[in-house]
Amino acid sequence: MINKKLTPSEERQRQRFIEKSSRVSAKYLRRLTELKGAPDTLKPFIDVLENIYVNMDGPHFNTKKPLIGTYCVMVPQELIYAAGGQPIKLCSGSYTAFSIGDDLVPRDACPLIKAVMGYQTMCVMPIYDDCSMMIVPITCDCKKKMAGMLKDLVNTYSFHIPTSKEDDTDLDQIVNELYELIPALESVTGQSITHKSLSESLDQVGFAQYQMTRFNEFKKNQPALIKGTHAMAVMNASSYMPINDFSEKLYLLNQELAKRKKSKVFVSQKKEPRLMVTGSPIIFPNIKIPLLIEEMGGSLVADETCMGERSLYDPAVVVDQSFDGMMRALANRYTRPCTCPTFVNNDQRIFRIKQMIKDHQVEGVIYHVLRGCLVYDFEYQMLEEELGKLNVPIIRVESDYNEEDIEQLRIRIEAFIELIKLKDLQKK
Amino acid sequence: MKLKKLFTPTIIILSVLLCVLAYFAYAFEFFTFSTDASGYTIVENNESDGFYFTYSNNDIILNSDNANTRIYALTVDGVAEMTQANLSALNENYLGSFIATIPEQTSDLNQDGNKETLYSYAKTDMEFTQGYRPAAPEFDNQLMPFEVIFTDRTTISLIFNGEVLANQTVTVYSERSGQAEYTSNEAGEITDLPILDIRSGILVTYFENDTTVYQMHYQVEDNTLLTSRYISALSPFFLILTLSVLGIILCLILRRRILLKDPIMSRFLAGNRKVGTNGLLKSQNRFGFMNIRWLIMISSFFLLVFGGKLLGTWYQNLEIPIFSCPINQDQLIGSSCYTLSHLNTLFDMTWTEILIFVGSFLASLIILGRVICGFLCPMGFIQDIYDWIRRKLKIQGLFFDEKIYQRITPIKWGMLLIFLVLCFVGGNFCDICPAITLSPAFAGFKLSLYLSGFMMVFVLITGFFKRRFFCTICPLGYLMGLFHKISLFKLKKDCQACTECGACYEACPMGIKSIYTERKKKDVTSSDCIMCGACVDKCPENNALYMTFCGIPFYRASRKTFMSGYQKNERKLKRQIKKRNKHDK
Ligand code: SF4
Ligand code: SF4
Ligand code: SF4
Repeated sequence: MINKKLTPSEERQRQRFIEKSSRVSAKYLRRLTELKGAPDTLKPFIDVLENIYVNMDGPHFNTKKPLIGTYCVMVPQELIYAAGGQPIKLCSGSYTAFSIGDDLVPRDACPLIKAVMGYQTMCVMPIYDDCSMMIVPITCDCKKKMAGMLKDLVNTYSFHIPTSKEDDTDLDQIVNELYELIPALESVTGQSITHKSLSESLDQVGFAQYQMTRFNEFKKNQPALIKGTHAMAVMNASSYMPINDFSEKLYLLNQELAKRKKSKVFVSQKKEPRLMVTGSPIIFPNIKIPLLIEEMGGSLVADETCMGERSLYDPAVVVDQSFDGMMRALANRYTRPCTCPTFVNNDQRIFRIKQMIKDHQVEGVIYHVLRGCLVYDFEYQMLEEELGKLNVPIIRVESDYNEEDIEQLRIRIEAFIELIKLKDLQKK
Repeated sequence: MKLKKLFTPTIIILSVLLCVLAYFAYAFEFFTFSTDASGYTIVENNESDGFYFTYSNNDIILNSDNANTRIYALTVDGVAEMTQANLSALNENYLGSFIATIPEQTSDLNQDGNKETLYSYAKTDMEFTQGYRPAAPEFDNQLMPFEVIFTDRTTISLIFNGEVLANQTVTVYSERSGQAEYTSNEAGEITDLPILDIRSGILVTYFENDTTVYQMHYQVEDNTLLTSRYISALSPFFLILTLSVLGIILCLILRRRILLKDPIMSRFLAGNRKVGTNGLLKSQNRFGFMNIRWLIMISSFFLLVFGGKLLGTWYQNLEIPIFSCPINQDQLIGSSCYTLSHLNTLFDMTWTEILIFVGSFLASLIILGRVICGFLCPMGFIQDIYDWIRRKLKIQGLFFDEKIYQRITPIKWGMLLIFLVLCFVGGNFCDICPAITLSPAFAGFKLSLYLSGFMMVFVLITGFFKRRFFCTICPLGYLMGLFHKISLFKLKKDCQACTECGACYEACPMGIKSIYTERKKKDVTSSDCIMCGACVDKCPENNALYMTFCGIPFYRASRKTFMSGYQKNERKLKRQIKKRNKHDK
């Protein structure tokens, strides 16, 4: 919370910030709900987003558990649950917070960092302010410096990620990191991680992933059963929900999708081009790209982004049920299959995307790069080359956390969709 | 750092040491059974018909209806007649072979109307005289001109007047299969008599001419199951178990002491995170391929150990490369490990024998390959049991990384060297082979153990902490692995579907890293792969790994199967929601 007394002008600025921030969020939420074909059971997820971003409430759920803020996808939520904490993902997509953060960090830093720093300094978002600890994986340069800046504001824990993961020693390093994280977590939550609590949390997160697996299966359906933007909203909301709650809501959503599949209720037509997005994270309310895709008549069927499918895709595979075995399983699950471009060698991401193209019958790939997100930008070239061999069109779109580039994005995405339609026609 | 530098030299020294030890393996007595008759008594039973020996625990019973029966024994000082005084107290001077004679009789055995003179004998050999030994005990031919000797499990030899009885036909009546005629070969041996027939007691009749007949009833001490002597046969195995458990406990204590000094790990030792506070992670356990593998391993163990007793020993002509000790004469299938580790015996073999040996070796390599290791081998089975116990106790195991695997290869080579070459320099691999402690003991053979016993303790302790440790240094497995290219079983991978999650690598008992890093080849079978399927079982990506036989996939990785354990949780959730809805109304 705010410690120092605010001057009237500061207070006014703060008020303006709150208003503007919730107005933007509300607008995107509206566009999200107005998008045709939202299942009824999507509502709980929308509610979560509304609560956090529009009402600027604390987390939607009733919890006495201390909040542990995390960034990226490498912090094992199982450990946090096992210690009796509630993980919450703080990577931000707010345009308003971005504009504040713009003054705090270098111009070329990525907007995600700017938004996070903006929220952090404004002290208006309960999810940031109520955090007892923040765990920042040291991934890209921006995250690294962000950890340094956050240190002055909140209890921050730097979680070191090796820069490559080929050697077995890299995994050992992660295992050690996890072991070292335990006491830090325990001191915040006041509970200790036991074999029992860890296996329970593994089980709970595993169940959520089971529901995710079902959800992904539905996403593969052709024609689509759910709009990709809605699916991304689900994933975004998962960052702010307790895992059991999320599993339950996702289960209900899956049931509805199963019904849709049975009664052949589809949200896309056969001829709609099936697209996927990959690249820099897409975080609410910065969902302009998925929205544009689907508003322009494309069907977003898959995403390979870290606030999307990736965060809950890979299961923790427990080979050995000793405590150490579970720790190794976690270390494995959060690094080895992770397709984050911060690793030195990340060829596996290309394989993953190719496999997703196959599984989801994707016809075109939209490569999203946040301005300043170098690591993702680096990987574009190689992917373009590889997909060229497969004859799958790909387009790189760069965006920032503001609405100025919308028109330009619209034109490019529209052209891309037309291109695919044309290709389809030629085939026939 | 210093420790790491010492690692490789230590391993090399160890493997050299192993070679030296192997040469002197016979000098390390682990457990010896008495190789004499002390403790046994001979009991005369005049009530029954016929003339033969039987056994009942420590009694050797001579059944005879003739008052003039005499019993002779083979002793260190030659043949001695048994008197009332020494019948009840056999001592170590007796070599375990006994005969009984009755005065000559007349009878018309061939029913040609003329009576013949019939010489009858009964003979028995105690168990410790049987099996692989240079020469079977032989009696005085003055006393008994016709003698039957059980040379080894495939052979009985016939002796007449001190000479081998070559190319003669005798009638053999066995309790098990009745009467049949057999002809001896040049060396006076009958090789096609099933061992089960021999065990059941045989009556061999030899017509020297029309007027003279020799008859010998021959009974070997059988290794009956579930008697006190069976338990005594198992005692070395129990000793090994006890020692291994002690060793494991010792290692655990040691590890604790070492880890307590470690700044990070000591914290986790203070709490009871090890054994005890068990959480249950049931959802990742499900009935599947791995359970089928267990079933196959269990049945293979029983079939190998007792199969001969149930199904006959014909299959023993086949020899598959497996560490299931063929000194157990009841094994269902022979093992080529004996021939492989005693290659010098090849020189004494006939061409057909060599052909069968090479043929069945190659056939097993092609048809099964190292599936033998993953599914059939008793050594693998017992290591898996130990590993299973560790998992159940939730004791932390050892994870070997690629470097350690690489560094322990000298031991593997050392083992291979011992395995193949020891016989030529006068050693015997069986004295160091840990497999000898398993199958024969379970089948009830009393076998003295030398270095093998210590080896087995070592195998079990290491197998407890590191799954299938012995398999990583097993010479037979290594030999088989060299031929993995021609095996019909293959492990394949869809390199695109793989997410490089490394689950397979974590699960692999042999530490094969290429299954997870491979991105080009479809065939990821490597020479170390024992086809256990653990990697496929743990792979969460559809079709990323699969096993094939002759190119036909029979077991595929699948996300659905991997996650199927969570269906339980889903049903529970469904019930909860229903209940809540009802409540709300
Ligand atoms: S490698 Fe293991 S399973 Fe294979 S023969 Fe050797 S001991 Fe048996
Ligand atoms: S590669 Fe797979 S099948 Fe082969 S030994 Fe390893 S886990 Fe078993
Ligand atoms: S378990 Fe499957 S997906 Fe994971 S690395 Fe192995 S083959 Fe790839």
